[in-house]
Amino acid sequence: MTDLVLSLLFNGFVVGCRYLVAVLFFTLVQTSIEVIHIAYGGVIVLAGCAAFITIKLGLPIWLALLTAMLSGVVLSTVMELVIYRPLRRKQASNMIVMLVSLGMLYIIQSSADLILGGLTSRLRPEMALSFSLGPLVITDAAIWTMIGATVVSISLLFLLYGTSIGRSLRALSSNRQLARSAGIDVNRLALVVFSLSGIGAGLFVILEGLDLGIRAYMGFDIALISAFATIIGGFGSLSGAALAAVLIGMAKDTFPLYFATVWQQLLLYLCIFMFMLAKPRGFFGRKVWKAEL
Amino acid sequence: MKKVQIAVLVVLFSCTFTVFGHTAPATKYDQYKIGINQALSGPFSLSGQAYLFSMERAINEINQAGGIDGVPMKLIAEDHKGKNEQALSNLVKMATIDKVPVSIMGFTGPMMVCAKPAEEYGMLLFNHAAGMTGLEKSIGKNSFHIMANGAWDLYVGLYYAIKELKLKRIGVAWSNYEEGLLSRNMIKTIVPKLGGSVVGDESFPLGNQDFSAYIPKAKTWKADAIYYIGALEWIYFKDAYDLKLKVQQMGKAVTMAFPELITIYGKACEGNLWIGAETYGPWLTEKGRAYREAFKEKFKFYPAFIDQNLYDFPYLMRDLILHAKKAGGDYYTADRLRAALLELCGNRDYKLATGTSFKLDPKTGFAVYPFVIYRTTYNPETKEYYYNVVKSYTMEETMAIRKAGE
Repeated sequence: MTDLVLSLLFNGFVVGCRYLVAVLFFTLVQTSIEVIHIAYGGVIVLAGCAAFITIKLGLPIWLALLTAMLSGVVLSTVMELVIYRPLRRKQASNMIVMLVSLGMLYIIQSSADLILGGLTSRLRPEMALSFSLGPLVITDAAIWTMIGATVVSISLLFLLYGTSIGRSLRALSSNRQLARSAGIDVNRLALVVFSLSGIGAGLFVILEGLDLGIRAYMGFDIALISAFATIIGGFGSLSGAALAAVLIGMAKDTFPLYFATVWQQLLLYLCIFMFMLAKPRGFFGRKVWKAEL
Repeated sequence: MKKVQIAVLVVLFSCTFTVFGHTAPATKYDQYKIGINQALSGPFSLSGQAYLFSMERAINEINQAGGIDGVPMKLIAEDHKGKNEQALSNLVKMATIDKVPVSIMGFTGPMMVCAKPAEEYGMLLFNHAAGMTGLEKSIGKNSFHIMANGAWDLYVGLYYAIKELKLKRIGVAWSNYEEGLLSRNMIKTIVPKLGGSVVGDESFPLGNQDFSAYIPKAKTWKADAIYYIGALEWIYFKDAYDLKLKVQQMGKAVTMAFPELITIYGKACEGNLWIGAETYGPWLTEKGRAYREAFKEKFKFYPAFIDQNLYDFPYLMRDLILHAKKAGGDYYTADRLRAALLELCGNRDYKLATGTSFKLDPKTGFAVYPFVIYRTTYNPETKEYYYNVVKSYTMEETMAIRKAGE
């Protein structure tokens, strides 16, 4: 039983780390620009298509990562310029922005279906390298995921606390009106944030593709997980979102201790709803921007 | 008296001629439409596309050889995407608009929902990819489980594992859809009857990709073999490699039909015995061998035996049409084709185009095939995998195995 518990916890931790990569960028957008960027799932899918095409052309995986990131940046920038910025200008409500975002997600996923079909596409034909550590089986995909999550976390920490852009983002998150009055260019920052999220989408989809594969309709699931992690972590808290992402992954993989794996998704969302009812502010819910990593 | 005798003879001769000599002229057709109602897109699409390719090739060959008495065959292909309601819509469309009297139908759910409507609309369904496990009763007079009756691979595969390989601890990994559930229920019945025990039973959602929780659980079973029933959850094989079982996968050849699986699957063969039980398709004929190579060229892997049966289907239809036509009248209808099928194949060995034979049970509409157990081996240099037949069972042996597991 101990072996099983350890395996499930470790595997869940790896899944959580992968979620963390997507969640942090989703939360960054939400916290700084106040957009619930559901279409982020579509950015991930499109980045996945770019990676898939790159691999199909026989090009190496690192190039697939670059094309995925580039595609993510381009699409995110287009979304900001063509959709979100005009909506901001017209002072559209959050509900409308979210619905438009959801619509974009569906359009992108349906388009991706034409490229990927109904199949899962792996980014590498060979099996993952793996080794055993006691009861744990550790694959290279798992290692890359943990490295990716660490790099993303440290990079965002540096961005927020070590750069002027980060200072501006924190100011914007803390008090938008005051930040504007102080001359912070919201539109310019929005472009930066969306571009960064595009990079994050590219990285996430490569990590996912190495392990599980890329599917045309994967965007909705990850967008939902990201949204829930943002809420559970507490609006305005990147560290809360990061913690929530890892916990979601670990919870998902430990449910099978007592229930059939077919119930994983159902139980996960049930627990999320119950948590939100009990603690709607999340772990570190506060309005002032603070990223503690 | 002599005149009376002559008159009687004339009357008798006329009656005889009327009853036995006169046949209504056969209806003229300018084409013979046959349908395929399959998953041509969506999670099952790779199987569906393989079946479509196989049928199209056979139809092209028949038409290039002059058709059926000069009349070409035409394929009407409809995509049900693995969804029951779409399958039914397709059936209605084929019956009412396209006027197709016979169609291939695949996957358990679509087969079940279309069986009765097929009777109402006067269509004949030739079912395959048969997950009719446990349902070996007729589901309608117009439904025949002829093309690759995979329902019996459970019996044969488990028999081989338990009785011949002496592997008693069997785990079941099944995808949560009709075929998965039906097969799992049958396995739980068959295994104890053969002297084994089901040590684990876990389902996962159809199309699931993340087995990070499932595999650690499966390890606790300490199974000798795991019977996997699913659709596209090929990742299972990657993760399941860690299970290091004596026998890894049995049964559904469809799970071997995905190109990206080839290398993974092949690698996973190392240290594991991957076996499948399938209706036997010996590549005895030149036509069959040519088809096999053409399939490989398109899909980059050799066809499973189940794909081969779809190549056989148009040729079977050709024989049924020619047989039905002999009696004249409107012969290209479900009723006439059904009669031809029962006459040609009912309780008799019928040889298909690729060389394998089957026998149709008229009561249930099920076909009995010889079966083989095959082992998959992988050549890392050529990156190809091969089916190596390790055991063959005749039709009679298959029937006996079936009885042992009931």
